[in-house]
Amino acid sequence: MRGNSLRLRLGLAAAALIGLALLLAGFGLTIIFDRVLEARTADELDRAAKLLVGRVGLAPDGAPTLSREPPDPRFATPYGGLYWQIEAPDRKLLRSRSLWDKQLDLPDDRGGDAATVSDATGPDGGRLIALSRSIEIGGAGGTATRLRVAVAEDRRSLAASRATFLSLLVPSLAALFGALTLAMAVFVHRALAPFRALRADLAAIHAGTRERLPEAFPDEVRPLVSDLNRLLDAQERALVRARAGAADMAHGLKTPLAVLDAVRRGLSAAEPVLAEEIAEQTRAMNGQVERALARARLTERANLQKRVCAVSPVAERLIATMQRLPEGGSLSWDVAIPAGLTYPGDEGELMEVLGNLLDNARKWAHRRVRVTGTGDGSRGCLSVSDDGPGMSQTALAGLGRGVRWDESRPGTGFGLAIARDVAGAAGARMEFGVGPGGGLEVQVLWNAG
Amino acid sequence: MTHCRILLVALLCSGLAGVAPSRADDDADRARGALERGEIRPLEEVLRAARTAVPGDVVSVDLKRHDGRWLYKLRILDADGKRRTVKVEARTLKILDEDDDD
Repeated sequence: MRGNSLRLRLGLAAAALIGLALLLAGFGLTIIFDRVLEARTADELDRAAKLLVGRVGLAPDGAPTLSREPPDPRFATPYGGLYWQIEAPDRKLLRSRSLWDKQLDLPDDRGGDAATVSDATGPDGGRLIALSRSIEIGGAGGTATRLRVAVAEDRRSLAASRATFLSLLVPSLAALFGALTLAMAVFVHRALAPFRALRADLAAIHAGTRERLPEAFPDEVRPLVSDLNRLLDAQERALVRARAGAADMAHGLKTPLAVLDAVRRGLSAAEPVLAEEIAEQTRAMNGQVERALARARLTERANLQKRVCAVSPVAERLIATMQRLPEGGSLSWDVAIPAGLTYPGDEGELMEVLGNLLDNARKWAHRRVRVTGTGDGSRGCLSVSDDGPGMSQTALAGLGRGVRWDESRPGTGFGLAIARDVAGAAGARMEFGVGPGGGLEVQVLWNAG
Repeated sequence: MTHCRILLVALLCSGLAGVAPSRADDDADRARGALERGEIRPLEEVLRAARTAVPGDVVSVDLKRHDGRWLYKLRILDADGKRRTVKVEARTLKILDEDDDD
């Protein structure tokens, strides 16, 4: 997946948002847990404080006494983490055994009658959550004594609960993150499915197995598909028009050329030099007309659609034709084309290219024409060579540049040029060289796919 | 209702505490026996009657036999932080005595 991938970008954005949301949720849940834990602890402390309130009494001398200690064993363990203390004015402090050699230093009572929750320092220096109640009990002589009952718990036991909570919360949120991100990835993947289908359909159009995109797309994508289809239609119409125009012009020139040739024949007795000149010019013009017609036939090529055809059957048919032509039957045709080799154009185009090459070879060869094909799926090569006189290096270089070639034999002026035009339209290129038989070797090379 | 629950938890705690288990057990057994014999009313009704007389949190419950009658001695912490003692005749739910404290 590239950095530009929509799926990657959407997936990362979703993962980032999910992560952020879960992070906030984690903080929120921790805060809520802390609040609940604090409230619950205060509730438990208040319960213990009320138990003390119920049991505290006054000795005859007015000092507070406790009939029974509260039951939690932590009250009885020195520095046990849970403490109580009862203060009476000007009296000895009544403390839990857990306070041992210390006492609770509580902030001054704010005068409220209900329970007051505050922070305090424990006997071992730890932080405590303390709850105190200010009460009044009746003395022996009907006097009221004001007492302050306080219960405190070490916050370390709260911290342990918090750690347990976090040890459950963090993996849960991480698992939730994984599940949600996975779900989002699946979601994005499904949401982008129409684009994958579109890409496959476009590939089918490129490959030539389909002419138009199907309209069965979601509403969001359908306008794009419709526009593409309209573009394909418009392109096809423009091509048809251009092809028809070129063909019309070429056909229109054929009759005047025929007339001109007839005139030339009439002149040949009286003015042999002039007639020869006219003949040469009409031949050149005929060649241009043929070339224009051939180009018109292949304007289809410029379409988005690409066609492929198997090379071997076309070559066999063409060679069979060549063998029926003059000089063709006496030649030996060596053909070696693998069955799977395909040319990136339709059959007509391949016939145009290969036909011109074979025809050229037929005209120049002494005894033998070789047609070989090679291909490995990614590229292909079709080679036609003869054992004729060949061409000089200068002439070969000129051919490569598109310079006009030898016309000493009839009909050879334009065959190679047409073949090169048609091959070029299919994305293939032509190379000229000296073949194994010493004559001209023409190679058509293309990249498949 | 919360007060009632707090109280019951407190009672349960003292029962489990083991500071003075025999006495707490005796307490409860006495109450259970008296209720079965129909000599006293259930604690719930006693508490309701006591709280009607003195609103607040019941912080201590004691059942005593006195002059052939069962007496509930309740300590109630009222909203002002004052602890009051309320004695209730366990069979008739009559509030016998209500003072600041004993």
